[in-house]
Order: sequence, then C-alpha cells, then structure tokens
Amino acid sequence: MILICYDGSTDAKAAIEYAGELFDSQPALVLTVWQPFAEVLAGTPLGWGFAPGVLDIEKADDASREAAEQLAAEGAELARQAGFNARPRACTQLTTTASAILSEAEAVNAAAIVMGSRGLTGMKSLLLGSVSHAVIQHADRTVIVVPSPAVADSRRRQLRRDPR
Amino acid sequence: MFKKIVFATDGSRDADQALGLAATLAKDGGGEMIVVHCEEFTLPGKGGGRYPTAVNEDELKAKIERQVAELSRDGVRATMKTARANVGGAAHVIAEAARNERADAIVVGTRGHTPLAGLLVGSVTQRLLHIAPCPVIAVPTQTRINGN
Repeated sequence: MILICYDGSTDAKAAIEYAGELFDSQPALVLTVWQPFAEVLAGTPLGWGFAPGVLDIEKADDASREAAEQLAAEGAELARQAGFNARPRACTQLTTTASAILSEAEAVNAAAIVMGSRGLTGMKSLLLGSVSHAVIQHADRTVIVVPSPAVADSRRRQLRRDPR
Repeated sequence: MFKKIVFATDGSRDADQALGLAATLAKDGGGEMIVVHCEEFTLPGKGGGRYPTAVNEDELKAKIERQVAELSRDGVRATMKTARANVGGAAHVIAEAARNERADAIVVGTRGHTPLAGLLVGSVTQRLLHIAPCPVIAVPTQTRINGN
C-alpha cells in the first residue's frame, strides 16, 4: 500500500503522476487531511469567546469534511489514471498534519509515503512547507517528496544563480 | 522510468541503507547511478587551515569507492562524483549534481525516529527538500521498500 498525500496543489498532482510511474498498479490510499473548526479557533486570539451564537461549528466542520472528501476523491481519481488501484480517505488532524499522515501510514502499513513539496521555493519554503520536513523527520518508512515541474524549473534557475 | 539516479552519501551507515533502493531503481529502469559524495570543510579560522568535518574522511571515501566498484560488478552503471564545500554546503552540491545530470530522483538515507540527531545529521536532507530540482526519496533506517 502506498500512501499519497493530496491537498489539490500542483505539486500534489505531480507527486501522483511521478508515483504512478514508480509504483505501477499497486494499491494506494489517497489522503486529504482537514482541520476541525474548533482547532482553527483555538489557534486564533479570539479563541472560544468568538464561537457561541456567531458560528455554527458543526456546520463549518461539515463543510470542511465535505471539501476534504471531495479533494480526496479527486486525488484518488488522478491516482487511478496514473495506474494505481486507489481509494480516497479524508481524516482530521489530531495535532499536526504531519502526525495525521504518519498515523494513517502506520494504520495501512504503507510501504511509502508520497507527497508534493507544496510549491514553495527560496525563502518562503524555509518558513512554510514544514509538513514534509516533519514527516521525513519522524517516518519509519520511505518518503518521496515531489516538486511540480514549475517549481523544479525555478529551482534549477535558482541553483545557477546561487553562489556556494 | 529512471534514467539517472543521484545517490547522495556521506559514507555513513544511514546513507548505506538507501543504497539498495537507489541501485534497484537504476537497474529496473536500465538507468545509471551517480554516487555523489560531498566532502565538507570547516571554515578557515585564525589558525589558518581548513579541515574536513569528518575525521575519517579518507576511510569514508575509500568505502564509497568500494561500493561503486561493487555496483558495477552487479551490473549497475555507477559513477562516483566527489565535491568539496564549506560546512553546510553539501545539500547545494547534491542539488547541483542532480541538475547537471538531469537526475530523475535524489535518493538519500535518513535516520528515522531520532528528532535530535535528525536536526544535525538530517540537515542535508531537510535542505534538499527546499532546493532539489527533482523528487527526493528519503529512506529511513530499516525501511521496507516493496512490502505491500
């Protein structure tokens, strides 16, 4: 079983295509991780005081879940086109996206985790895109991180410019 | 599918575990393996000289040369490329090699489950994630490659 992390980004799409060539016709689980609204709120300065009577948390979560399920289904379809025997899965994150990915990988005993590099280059990538970092740091299985063609191109140019 | 695989190694046992996967990928695709080893040097201080950061650098290099010879014996086309860089420059050297060779993947070994050691040892892999012009395949300790 190959675990493919899918967030709809062009990098994630490139990752599916790349993995399809690598693991032809293997079973795959296409995972989209979503964040319950309570957690989003807990991370804002407004916190819980903002919630009662203003927003229907359940409704917001239903929408998030549906969006994640749709994304996962889209990813699974792409994975099937790439040659995988794929099924979608949407799950919530317990603490971080990386930990959700790792526990899903554990649950299906994935041979490898495939993910996009989140389309970031240069400075931005140092500040953001830490999911793949965290996954590689803690995974006890092979992790494949794939940049989209556009990101790969810009990195190629960047390498030429940068002095060592 | 893989015509060129860059296998990045510092000669450590962590790197060795990824060697098998890199060789399999190269062999299956009828491709070639570029074994990249970057010797890192300390910055010149008041004392003058620059020194390799690995005390047993010569041993490591000899070991990698043996590995390359073994690969060739096993029918995998493999060439070794050594480069020098200041400490912290290894990732850049590896990414550059991948670009120059138009590599289809960079394969690296990592230590799984050791966050602290990972901060130090895995920093090359972490940096590669930001600058690699191709996919990075990170293989942790005692990994399963083809178990479904």
